[in-house]
Amino acid sequence: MKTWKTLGTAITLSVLATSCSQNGSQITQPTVEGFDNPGECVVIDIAVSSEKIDLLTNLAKDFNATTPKIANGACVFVRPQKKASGAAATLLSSGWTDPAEGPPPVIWSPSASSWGAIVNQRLADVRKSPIVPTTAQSFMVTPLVIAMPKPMADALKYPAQPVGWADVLKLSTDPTGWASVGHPEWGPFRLGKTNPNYSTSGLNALIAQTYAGAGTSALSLETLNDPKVAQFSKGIESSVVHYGDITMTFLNNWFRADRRGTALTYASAVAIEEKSLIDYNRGNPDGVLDAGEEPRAPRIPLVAVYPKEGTLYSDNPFFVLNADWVSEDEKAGAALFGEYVQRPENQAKVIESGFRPGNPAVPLAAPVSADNGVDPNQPQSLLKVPEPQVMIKLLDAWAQNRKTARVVLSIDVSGSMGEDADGSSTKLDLAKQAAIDALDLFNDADEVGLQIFSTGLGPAQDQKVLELVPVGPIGAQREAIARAIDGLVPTNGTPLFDVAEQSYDDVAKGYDPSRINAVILLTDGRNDDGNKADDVDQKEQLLAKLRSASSGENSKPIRLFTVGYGADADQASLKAMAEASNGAAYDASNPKSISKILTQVVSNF
Amino acid sequence: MKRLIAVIIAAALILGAVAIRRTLTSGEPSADEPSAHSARVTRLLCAAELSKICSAISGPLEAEVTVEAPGQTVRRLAVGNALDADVWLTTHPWTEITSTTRPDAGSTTPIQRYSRLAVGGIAERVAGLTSSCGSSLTWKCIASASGKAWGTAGLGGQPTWGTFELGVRRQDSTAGLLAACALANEWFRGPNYSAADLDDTDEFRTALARLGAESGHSDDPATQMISQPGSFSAVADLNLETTIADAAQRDRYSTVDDVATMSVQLAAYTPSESELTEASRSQLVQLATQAATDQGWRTGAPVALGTPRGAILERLATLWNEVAA
Repeated sequence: MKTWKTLGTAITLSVLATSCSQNGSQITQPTVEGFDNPGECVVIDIAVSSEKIDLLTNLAKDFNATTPKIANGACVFVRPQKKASGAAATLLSSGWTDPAEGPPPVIWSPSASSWGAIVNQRLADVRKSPIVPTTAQSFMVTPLVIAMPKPMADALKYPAQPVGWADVLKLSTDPTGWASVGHPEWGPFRLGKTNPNYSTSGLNALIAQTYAGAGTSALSLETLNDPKVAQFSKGIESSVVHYGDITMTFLNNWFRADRRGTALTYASAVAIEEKSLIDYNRGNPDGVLDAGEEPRAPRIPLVAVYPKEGTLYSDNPFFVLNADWVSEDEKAGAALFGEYVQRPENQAKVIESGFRPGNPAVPLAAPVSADNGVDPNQPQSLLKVPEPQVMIKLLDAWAQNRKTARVVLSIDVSGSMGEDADGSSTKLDLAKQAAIDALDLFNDADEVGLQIFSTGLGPAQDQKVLELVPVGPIGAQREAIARAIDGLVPTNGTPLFDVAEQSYDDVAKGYDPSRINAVILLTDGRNDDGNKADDVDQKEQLLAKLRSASSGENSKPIRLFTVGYGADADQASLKAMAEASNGAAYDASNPKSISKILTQVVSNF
Repeated sequence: MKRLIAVIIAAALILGAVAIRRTLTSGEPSADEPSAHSARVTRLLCAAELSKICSAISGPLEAEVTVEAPGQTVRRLAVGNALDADVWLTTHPWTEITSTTRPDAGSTTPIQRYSRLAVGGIAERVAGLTSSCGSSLTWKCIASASGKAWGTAGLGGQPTWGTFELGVRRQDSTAGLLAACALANEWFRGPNYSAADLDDTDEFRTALARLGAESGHSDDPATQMISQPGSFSAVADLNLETTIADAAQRDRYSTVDDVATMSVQLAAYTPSESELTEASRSQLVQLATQAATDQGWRTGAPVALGTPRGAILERLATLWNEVAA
């Protein structure tokens, strides 16, 4: 027995040594404080979707402190890392070979089991064996709901009158919008929905609305070919504010709008998980309380509408992977941790964070309660997760049915963009390649244009913004934009505020209400137009203009998505500008992250 | 002086104990060679629904446990593959099939613990279904209701309940096979039907397909029904009473007593090539008996086993896989 233990220890050490050497070569290895010293224990790496990383990190720390042991006497050390469900699915489908993404997991806990089916299907497509078990116990669950400000839910007489996706369609396609139920002051119906390629909420919302459109209890490939189903989806998508990779963007924007008293005209409804709605109503819209941050209840609370056609759960499974990198000892250790998190005292922590327990022996309790806008007795009806082939077809169909975008891509070509980024490329080199790659993420029907900005541009060297490719269908000009980006060179200063306003005005001139109208502003600097004295006034005027234009029932919202690129970018100003327009700010302080960040930005369309 | 004597006596006792211990353990292998014990680790193959029982006995048995759906195991055995384990903890219907397809491949030790396939669910929906089926619930009626919308003339209940779905385990599971058996027994008025009956009756195949199609391919429908309200109106499963009794919201659920059903018996199947000693097998049976009791299995069959002959069972299992595909 001792021989086996010694061998096990040696293997563990060699694995650790390998892992350490991989860590040494990477730049963005995700690390969690308190998990850097597993000793000689069997390490159980666990990839966890973002909404439960804090919870599982704490549980893992407590578990490790109990010095758990598997049958052969080896101790077990659980090490969580945050990984979005869609991103982890992509990594697992391709063998999780990039060390920069962290160690390949023993346990994978995505938001929903459907991601497991997608991984197995992708593997089957390339004739590989499945690695995700078909069965796994849920750690915790939360249903998808349509979050709606209480006055709007009241206007629809919910819950006395059931509300579902069919009602969303009706309001979305009614030219009179909320006036049809006696509230013209709320303007058109505006829906928030995340991109189903990145987000479980987005994926579940897409499945649910497709069921509603099909009017069946099962989705098949034939169902998706039905023009009626496509028409239903297009109708719902037509009211989308914008997409995005996380629901927190909507909730943060909604919360800020609520403080300004404009919540009802920012969005009418957002498809989110019940847990996120509880967080919002408890005054913590993004579910994370930073140091010193006090939760503050919103002026207008949200109500969880459980769609009358049925809904889906995010069931947060604990998949112990059948991958070739997972040993029997690791599986045994994973089983111990799986049992640990199901204990009633640990499931109580699940409830405290707004989820429902995975262990049915644990009673539901506050905060999953009516005073937080949810109904513990709902949902009454669930929808089935479609077969993997249907899911993939569904995503393809969504790409055709989704609301198209009209976007100006505005790239900073100031002198500082010529600085070295990684020893072999300049910041502009990396940004150019990332931007060219990101063009592929747009639909052919999206309209995209390209601008550059700096000081002293144009033939007379007196322009701050230069339009290189006018806004037009990208299907016809993708190559032209790529060539133009490829030819960019660094020039002079950074007239940030002027450019933001001008890009905004350019999009406003051709505003198209049937599209998502937006500006992507990529910059590595701070405002530098040669006159520092008026910077504060310039910024305030710009923010006031953005806020005013994006509020009110008759607003023509143009979302500003800012990318603060490199260590010197004025992240604070960019964030303020994005928030003022109800867009989102992205931080690419590490130039090497620019490709990933631009992918996230384009997920809004 | 007294203290010195006490110390000397204590030291002598310790040295004596060490000497005795050395004598007792002199026959053990050295630390550098594998012990005879470690070479005899029992390889226990476990039918998926029995994984909790296997988990409970694996420690005392010092067994390495592999879990597999029993339907997959019998298919492996049927094509001539080895069990690849010393012993298989499973249930009666599967050993019955194996004794038909591979009569010489091993032997079955029955374990005197039983569980019945029960039907139950959200109380008001079970009552609604029973009412719509007439005075008592039948498997034909359950299959017929599967996929129908609540709140309609044919089913009653509330439209907000969505569609009626019975949660049934996969076709490869014991509860899944038993549900198919229960439907077939009712359809053909007892277990004495033939393979030709199964193949020639389109209506039966349609009903079987509905039962499978609406199950949602669940691996643990009872837990899912309780932890994810709305997922199923009702389920058919083994040990359902225990699962419901353990639930925090147990008052919300009820089981149906009058639906025709059947029992399964726990069994240990030992392949002919197994080196498992009789003593180890007896220990396994004893441990499994206790673990099953702890988990709600009964000492006698609550209702008749009622399953058809092995060859018919095998055809039924195959048929359900075909129609559910």
